[in-house]
Amino acid sequence: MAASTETKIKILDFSENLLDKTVHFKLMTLDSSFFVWIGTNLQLTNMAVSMPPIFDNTPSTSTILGSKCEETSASLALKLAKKFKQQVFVSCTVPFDPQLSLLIEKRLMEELKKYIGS
Amino acid sequence: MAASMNSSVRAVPSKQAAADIAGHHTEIVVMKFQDQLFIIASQFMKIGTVVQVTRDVISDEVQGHVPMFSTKVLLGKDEPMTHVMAKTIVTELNPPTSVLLTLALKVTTPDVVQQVTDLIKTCL
Repeated sequence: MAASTETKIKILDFSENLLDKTVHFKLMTLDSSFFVWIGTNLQLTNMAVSMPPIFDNTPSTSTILGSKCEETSASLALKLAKKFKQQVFVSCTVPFDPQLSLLIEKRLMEELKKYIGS
Repeated sequence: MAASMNSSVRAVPSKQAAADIAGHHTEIVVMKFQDQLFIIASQFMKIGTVVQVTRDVISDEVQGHVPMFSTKVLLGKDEPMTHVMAKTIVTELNPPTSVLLTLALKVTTPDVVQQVTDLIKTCL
């Protein structure tokens, strides 16, 4: 049996009450990449991945799981990849509400800035 | 408005483990979502290849219910080895739900895959 060692991947969980909804967050920081899950229901129904830009300013984004019409995860992944210059995996399953999305993004940025050096 | 809740209450349970397998630091993370398991097995400390493993139960009159797993590479190397590894790992775990498995292994020998599977089992 392999000898167990210390874990390097960090996971952070927190929940927030935003606009009368409980929104759960899960962050996982890996080596020069991170994973974000945001949800009101506890499911993993979609996922988008974004790679930081090398030559131009727009990161490339792709939806790898779930409906491609659902743009929330993809747009958030794009923003995060641009900001943190890292590979980002995003899964966001919250009902569409522009105001809620804004609050979620604000809260997420607060937390990410603490854990990921930009 | 943005009242902070008790952050020790985790909506989605997750467990992680790390071990030295064949001289490489190996990390496992298992997140239990309601609809599926999210398993990360990494020796590069990266997500790597993302494989979706869905469970189809075949009702066979001779053998009874035989779980079968179909694999689909969502991101990364879509080569036979990836499918073999994903199927080997998930068949042994035999989870009730479908699995989103990410693999980033430096060594892909059967012995290493077995040890990785054993490590995942400690996180279930």
